[in-house]
Amino acid sequence: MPALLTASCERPVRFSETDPLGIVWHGNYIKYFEDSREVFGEKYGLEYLTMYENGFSAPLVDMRCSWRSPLHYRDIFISEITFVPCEAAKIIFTYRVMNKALGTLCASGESTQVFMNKNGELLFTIPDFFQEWKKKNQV
Amino acid sequence: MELIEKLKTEIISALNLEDIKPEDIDPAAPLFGSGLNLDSVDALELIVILEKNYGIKLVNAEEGKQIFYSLNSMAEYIKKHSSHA
Repeated sequence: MPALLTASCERPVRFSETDPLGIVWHGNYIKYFEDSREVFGEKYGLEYLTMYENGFSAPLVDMRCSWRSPLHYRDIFISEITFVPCEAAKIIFTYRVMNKALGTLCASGESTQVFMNKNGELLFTIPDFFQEWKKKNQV
Repeated sequence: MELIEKLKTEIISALNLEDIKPEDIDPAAPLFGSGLNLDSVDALELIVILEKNYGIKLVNAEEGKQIFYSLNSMAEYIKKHSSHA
């Protein structure tokens, strides 16, 4: 079985990302997910702009997030992303945000993206460039 | 198993419709908008069912609207076009 495709990034929590209680505001985890999604794109050649050059966009249509334990200002967190293979014309990722020092899981989630052509129409089948990408990466 | 009944279980499992029993689905009711109230993203899974289980490859979105109107229309299309229905 081929290995799962994963990527991760890490950095400290910024002051502007915390709420009046001193913990990371819940909505920011969605941005942390996106941080790792961008790193994944660079690592495996699946970037937004590359997709756009191919004539497609991949809008998010579903996002789920579970919050497990808080992050505080200056905590270093790791944002990790895993590609979930599927047969439909979708891109599915799962995410984990962890506190690096404590090793605790802070949030986990899952997102679904679909493909749209330049006219904004939903693609029913997997576009060729993504089919090739899947083949190359054995997913 | 009759095609309609087979499709019901395939749709329930592909879309994780845990609260829905096969007998809850009216084969003549619209799949989208009312009835099961599916959306276009759900349709992507129906397309996988057609391709994987019946060997039908669909590319035309307009055609999809008619095929996926109801379970009856889906079954009819499969009977006409499938290599292994």
